[in-house]
Parts: sequence; structure tokens; C-alpha cells
Amino acid sequence: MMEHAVHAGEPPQDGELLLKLEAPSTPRGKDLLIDSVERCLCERDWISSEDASWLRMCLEEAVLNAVLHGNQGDPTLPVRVEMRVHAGRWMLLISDHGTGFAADEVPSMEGMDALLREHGRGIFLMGEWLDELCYYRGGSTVLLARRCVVDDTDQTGV
Amino acid sequence: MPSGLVTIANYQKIVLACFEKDRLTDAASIAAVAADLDRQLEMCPVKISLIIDLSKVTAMSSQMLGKLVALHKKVKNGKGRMCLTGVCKQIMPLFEITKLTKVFEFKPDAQEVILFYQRKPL
Repeated sequence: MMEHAVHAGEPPQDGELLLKLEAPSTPRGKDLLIDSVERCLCERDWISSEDASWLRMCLEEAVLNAVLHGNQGDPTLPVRVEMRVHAGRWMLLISDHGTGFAADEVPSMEGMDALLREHGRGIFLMGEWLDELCYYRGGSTVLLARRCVVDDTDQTGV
Repeated sequence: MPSGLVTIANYQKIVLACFEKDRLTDAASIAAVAADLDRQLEMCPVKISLIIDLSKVTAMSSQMLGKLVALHKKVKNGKGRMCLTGVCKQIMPLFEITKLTKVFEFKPDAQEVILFYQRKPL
């Protein structure tokens, strides 16, 4: 289980920019962002078919966190996504207008009480599939990163 | 008004709820599924035997896991029992990673669980 560091500073801006998009904190806005990122990754074959469900789950968790926790569901506040590719990894930044959070506010998954909790598993699950999951700007921007799945003919150009 | 995302069948005090949507990752579907199941629980006797069939589900979010935990607590508080069936290899890791395998009972086939529950009524 990886650490989910929360940095005060700015996120990395390495690599080639593939996608930059923002949408309101509404169900339709959330779907637009998720569908756009999913399309961007899948049309490059960077996600294996076995991993498609994991990708969708991570995107749902991260964008929903930005909409509900970061922007408090305020439809006037946008969520921004920015995707880059660098050194064989895709990196997705999702930013909201919230005040962020501290690392120790992330609930622990240890103990029976945690097992029976109805919330708090999202970050834990994302961290299992992603190669990197960390936070910037005090927690109002999340970085999701994972290596690009490439076939033998290597069409990524990275 | 049922959402159509869950098909519910009653076998006396045994309830089989089949999830009909393959992806339970969006908040609206999850809320609708949870509302359907809550309504069903309210209509049922206290000691319910509940089978949730997930054989059509290939993706699930942490929110849906949370709803299943809430449902499990309600059933247990009423001295009932609950079993998840047909959990596919794509979503089983979610239960394993979150250690919910310690909370839920899993069986491959719903019909077998119905027969077992009928043989061993509460």
C-alpha cells in the first residue's frame, strides 16, 4: 500500500500535454471529464482490457472526490483535468477549488471499525492500481499516474 | 418506483436481489440501487435471508461497497443473514483489497444459496 503524500506545492508539469479540460461540478460535467480521459487513454491502447474497470473506477473516485469534497457539489465551481505523458507513464491531474486536506485526515483501513465503515475506501482502492497517487496544492489537486501499456510494436511515441 | 437496476424475487423469507447493471460506478445508479434495496428491507420480516447476486456486475466503486456494507449492517442488526453471489474476477479484488472478504459471505451460485437457506431457515 503506497503512501498518499499531500504536498503544499505545485504538481509536476513534465512531458507532453495530451488533454486539458474543465467542466462544472455536475453529474454531466463529471461524466464529460471521465469519458474524455478514458477515451484519451483507450484510443492510445495504454489501458489493457483487464484494466478498463480499474481505470473507470479510479476516474469515478477521483473526479467524484473533486466534485463532492473539493467543490462541495457547487455547480458554479469547475473541476479541471490535465493529462500528460512522460517517461512511459500517463499522468492525470485533477484539480478542484477546495481547501484540500491533511494526510492524516484520510481514514485508516485497519481494524474492524474500519471494515464496517460506509465511506473512505476510495483512495485506498485507487492506490492499489495506480503506480502513483499523491496530492498537491494542499490536497486540491490529485495526481494519478500509471505506466502506459504498450504492445510489441510500441505506438506510444514516448 | 423501482429503478429497474435491481430485480428482486421473494422465496418466502428469502430475498434474491439481482443487480442488472454491469457498471455500478456512478453515484446516480448506486443511489437508485441502494434505495431499491432499502425499500425491500423495509417490506421484509426482521430476520431476512438476503442474497445479492452480482453476476452481471463487472465494475464497482467504493461508494457501492459502502452501500453493501450498510445493507449488511441492517440485515445483521435484524438478526438476518446476507450472501453475495456470482462475484466475478474483475470485482473480487475490490473486496479482497478492502478486506471486505472478512465481512461478507461469498458463494458462486445464487440458486444453491436459496436451497441452503430453505433447508436451514432462520
